[in-house]
Amino acid sequence: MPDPFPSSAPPVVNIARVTRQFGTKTALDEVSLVVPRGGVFGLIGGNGAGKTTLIKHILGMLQPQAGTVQVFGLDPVANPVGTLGRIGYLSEDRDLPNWMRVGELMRYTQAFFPNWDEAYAEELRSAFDLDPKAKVQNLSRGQRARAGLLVALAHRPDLLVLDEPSSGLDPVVRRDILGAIIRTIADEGRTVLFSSHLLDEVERVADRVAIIHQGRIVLTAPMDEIKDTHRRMTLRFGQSVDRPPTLVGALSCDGGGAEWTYICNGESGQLRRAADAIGATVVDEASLSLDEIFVSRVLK
Amino acid sequence: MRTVPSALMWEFLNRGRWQLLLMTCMGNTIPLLLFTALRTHGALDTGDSAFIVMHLALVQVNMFVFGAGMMLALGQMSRLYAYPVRTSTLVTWHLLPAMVLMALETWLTSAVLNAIYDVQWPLWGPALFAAAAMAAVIAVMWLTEKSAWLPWAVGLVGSALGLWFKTRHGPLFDLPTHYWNDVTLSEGITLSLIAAAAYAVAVYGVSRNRRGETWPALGIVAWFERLSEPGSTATGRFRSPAEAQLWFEWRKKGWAMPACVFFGLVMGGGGWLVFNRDPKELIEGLVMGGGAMMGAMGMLGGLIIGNCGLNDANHAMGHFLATRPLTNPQLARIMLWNAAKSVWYAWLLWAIPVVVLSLLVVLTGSVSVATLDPFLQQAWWWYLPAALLGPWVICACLAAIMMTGRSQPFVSLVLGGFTAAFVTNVALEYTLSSEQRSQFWRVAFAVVSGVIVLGTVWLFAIARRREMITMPTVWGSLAAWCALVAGLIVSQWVDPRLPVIVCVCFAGMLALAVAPFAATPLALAWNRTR
Repeated sequence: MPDPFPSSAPPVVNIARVTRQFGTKTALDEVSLVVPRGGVFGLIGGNGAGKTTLIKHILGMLQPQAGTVQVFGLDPVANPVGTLGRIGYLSEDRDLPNWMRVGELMRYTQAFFPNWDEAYAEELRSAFDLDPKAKVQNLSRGQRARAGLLVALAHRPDLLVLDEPSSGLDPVVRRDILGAIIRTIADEGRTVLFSSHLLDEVERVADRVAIIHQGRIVLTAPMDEIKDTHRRMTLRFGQSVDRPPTLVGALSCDGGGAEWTYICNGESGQLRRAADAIGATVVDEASLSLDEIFVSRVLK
Repeated sequence: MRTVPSALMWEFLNRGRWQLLLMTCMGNTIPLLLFTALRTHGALDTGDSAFIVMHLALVQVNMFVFGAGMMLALGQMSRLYAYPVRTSTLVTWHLLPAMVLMALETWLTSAVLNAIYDVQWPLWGPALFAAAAMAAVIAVMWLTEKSAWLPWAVGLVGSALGLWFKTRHGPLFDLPTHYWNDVTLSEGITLSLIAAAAYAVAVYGVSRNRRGETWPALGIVAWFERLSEPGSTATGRFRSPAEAQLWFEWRKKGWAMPACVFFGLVMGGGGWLVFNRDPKELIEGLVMGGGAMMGAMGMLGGLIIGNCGLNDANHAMGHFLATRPLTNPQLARIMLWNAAKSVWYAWLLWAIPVVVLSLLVVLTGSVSVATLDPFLQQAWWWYLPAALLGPWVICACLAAIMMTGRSQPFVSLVLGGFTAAFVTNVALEYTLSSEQRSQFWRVAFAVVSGVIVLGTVWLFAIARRREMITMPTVWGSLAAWCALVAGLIVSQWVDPRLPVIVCVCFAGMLALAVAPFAATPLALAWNRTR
């Protein structure tokens, strides 16, 4: 029986106060992040927020300038075999050797992973409709993504890292990646870390989310908790006000006259009490989509 | 930039400035070294007919090398297809500056060599030919872009132009007899027609590519394509990650050097069959020309084998290779093994015909050993091993540099070193006597070889400290270097031709044969984790 999520087992990824600069640009600024074992962890952020930089640290492709990175309790730079041997990775740029045929790619990748499941690999190849004799350079973008996903999955990795897996893909391939694959892996008790700026996808599959913005983690929590603690509340005041009064827990505010809409972080009861305290009546209250939460967090 | 032509030319020249500069240096390295050595030994006799042969070969090498730099600078035209610019404009403002630069480079290098060494090389004929030939080759490349026809079309056009160039220096099927000093009206018209035809073909080719039209792929071309695919398809399961990675490296890069040597031998053999058919020339050409080719191929092999990047322009290690669950020392061992395999096969491809043909012509009495070049008679016992060691040193060292994924500082170093050596040489020409110059260069080489030895020791110390190499590797490398130095001492003992200081320099430089064992894992680690 797989561990429940979040697990009490040691975290799969433990990043502590990692800083990384490229020239004068700070890509990661004292980032700390824990990815627990099991479940789907969504890393969301805008373009250039630092998602890929963070993933490169997890893969040992970047050395932290400050702080530490541990994957399965190991330093990925010092111990690439111990970490990469348990990771399946699909890069954003679908970096695969163009000169190989699909069959060769499978056979080649198999050599690195003792847990390679030939039957599963063949099942995936068939499901993804990949011709083993086809050259990688002749595959379409979607087929390329499927080929990359196949070799990332077929050794049943403990951690599957997907960097923007669905960007530029059609809905069918997205369904393959998100619907069929990610949930299956998570259900088997393994861990999926995937970065995306397509928030509806993250919302559908992620159990836990971290929002990264300008190299900083601005929020990390289970998806349910995030959705429970972020609300849109419309307040009516006794008389028209030029500027909205400060509401404890409010992230942003919009409106005019006597009615103002607040995007808030907090439990419903607490927020209602805070509204009472400033002499306002709650006329409407609704939960937020991840998209709205993200926007309110990064524009704060 | 206010105009389309200025923007196009700026982009082209800006993206290729380093390649063009580097290729200018590389293309002139051989003549500079050759003429300096000849003058040092008092053998720079421009009246000798061999100098015409030398001119013909060296000018074409320079054109080829600079032309390769031009191709890199031009890049893929497809990057410009989306701009609202007519195809003729795109072509004109790439072809024209390429032709001008080509002519200018050829003219200037000949003029500089004339000024320094008084070799009396012609200026205008080769320069104008270089411009027209550049245009023709570029046009054919654009015409057959992304098709299997490209190598054949370029080969055909290049050969035809080469033969025409040869006829400007004497009969086609014999040694050149004179320089191409005066460009006649008919030659000028011919070159103009070549350039005009190239322009028309280029516009047509780029238009086709811009529209996404492709050339029909005949069965025979597909068959050649399959034939040219490196190695055979792996069928069985790999026994280890190392075996799989070695297969990957060989299939991707390792085969290139032996293939190029094979191609060079076929071309050379074909040329000999058509133009010469003298057994003595065959042996001398195969041994000496082939030896030089092995050095060049070592360079090519190093550039290819050491490139861990996604493409030829970006040498930073890509995700695919960086995420292989292999340690850096493991990866380094595999890459060095691949380089060694590549050099070994390339050497065998050349050495076997050398030995077999030499035995054949000597045993059948076609050629008497006494009539062979004196150098060959003296060098027969060390030349073959040296032709294996030399390409290994070049290939492995260059590969290690490429594996850093940061070739720019090294390119700057090489360019800077070359420029410094060249300027120094020119300055010394006018300030020191021949003997003093010789002394100066001996000391300079001694310093360089000392730096090489110290650098190698430093690399081993760093690699050992970072636990990237084991002590057996250190001792093994030391033993290999000692063996090479012992071989050098033996060669001096058998044939004491070199001054002691030169021997000491060579001994230092032999450290480069083992330096890659320490440098490669360090380079890979530097590239893999940034």
